[in-house]
Amino acid sequence: MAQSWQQEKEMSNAFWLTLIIKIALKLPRWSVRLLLHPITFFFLLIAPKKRQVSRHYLARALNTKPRIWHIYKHFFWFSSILLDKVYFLTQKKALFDVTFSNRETVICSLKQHPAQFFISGHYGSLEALKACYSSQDYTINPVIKLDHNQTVVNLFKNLNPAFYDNVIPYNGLETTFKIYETLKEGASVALLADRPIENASTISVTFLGDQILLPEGIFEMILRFPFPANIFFSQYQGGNRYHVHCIPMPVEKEDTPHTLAQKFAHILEQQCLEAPYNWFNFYTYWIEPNHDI
Amino acid sequence: MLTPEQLEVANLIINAVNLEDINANEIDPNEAIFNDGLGLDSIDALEVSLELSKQFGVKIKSSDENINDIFKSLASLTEFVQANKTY
Repeated sequence: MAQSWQQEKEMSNAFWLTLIIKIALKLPRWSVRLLLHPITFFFLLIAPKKRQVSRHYLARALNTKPRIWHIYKHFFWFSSILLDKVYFLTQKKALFDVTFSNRETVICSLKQHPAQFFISGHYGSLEALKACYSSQDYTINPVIKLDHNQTVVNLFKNLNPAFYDNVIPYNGLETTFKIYETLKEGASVALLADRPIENASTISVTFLGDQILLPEGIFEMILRFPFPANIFFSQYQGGNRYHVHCIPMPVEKEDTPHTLAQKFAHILEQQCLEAPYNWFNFYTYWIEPNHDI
Repeated sequence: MLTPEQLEVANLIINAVNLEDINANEIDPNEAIFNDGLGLDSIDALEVSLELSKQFGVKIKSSDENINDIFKSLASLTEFVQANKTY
């Protein structure tokens, strides 16, 4: 059985994160990245379950049998992106080389229809997207489960309280109402659709050969609410490079929440095959593994 | 046995979310609307609220603190509609 990700103990405890944030704000990025190596190594040693999950995922996303250095890289990219979050939140965008695909098309579409869905997974950096598409002409409000991992959220919140001003906290029934009200008021919402939400309906889809559960509500909303939907990815490409791209969600008349969720899973899968170290779901995310791999 | 007001709201729910195989008179007014009860989800609740707004001028908002209590059962929803309807 898949474990609830909320139940998984978060690896980044407050002590380490506070330390990293303090150092990150004082030292140059390259030197902090050097420090990330022993920290990543430490977490690699103390988190056998997460290593196992990473191995499971990489066995499907890489075209080779994952070795310990592949898993190390997966952990290292996760910590790198977490570190970069500190810089994105403290407005140090200049440190990064962020490239875009079809940015103008997206901005043009946002100017015409400022209320849209932006769907992604726990992939790359949401902050990179926010940094690239923030404007006074339109707002993208991320839906985030704030009560999970509260300590970590608070640490980031202190860095940039304004960033969290337009966050829609996930809180059951009222969140659905809040998402609809936000869209009706002419602002967009960003949702991460690759993890089931506790006590909410799920849909089983195929992802890298495994069966995984996705939250049904998000895909149902896209089909039932008359707002354009997009899929976006802010992919980390190593060093200080990020690449953001956004495509319209291929919604068709005959789609059901299940077929739409499967389309999303397929697009996410392509991203994971293209840049495997970007997907961060270090919990038993599958309900039925593909034993052929 | 449903009150005439509860029956009206029950029919509105049935029409709003296409519960074709449910007869309004068979609904237990104190039964849960979500999951095990009528089996509605949060998006159905939103559809119901949009319909309530159209038919009775009742506005249910995310900022309403008791939103979960309003949608607890047919009885609680009807009570809210009666207390807040504008036409």
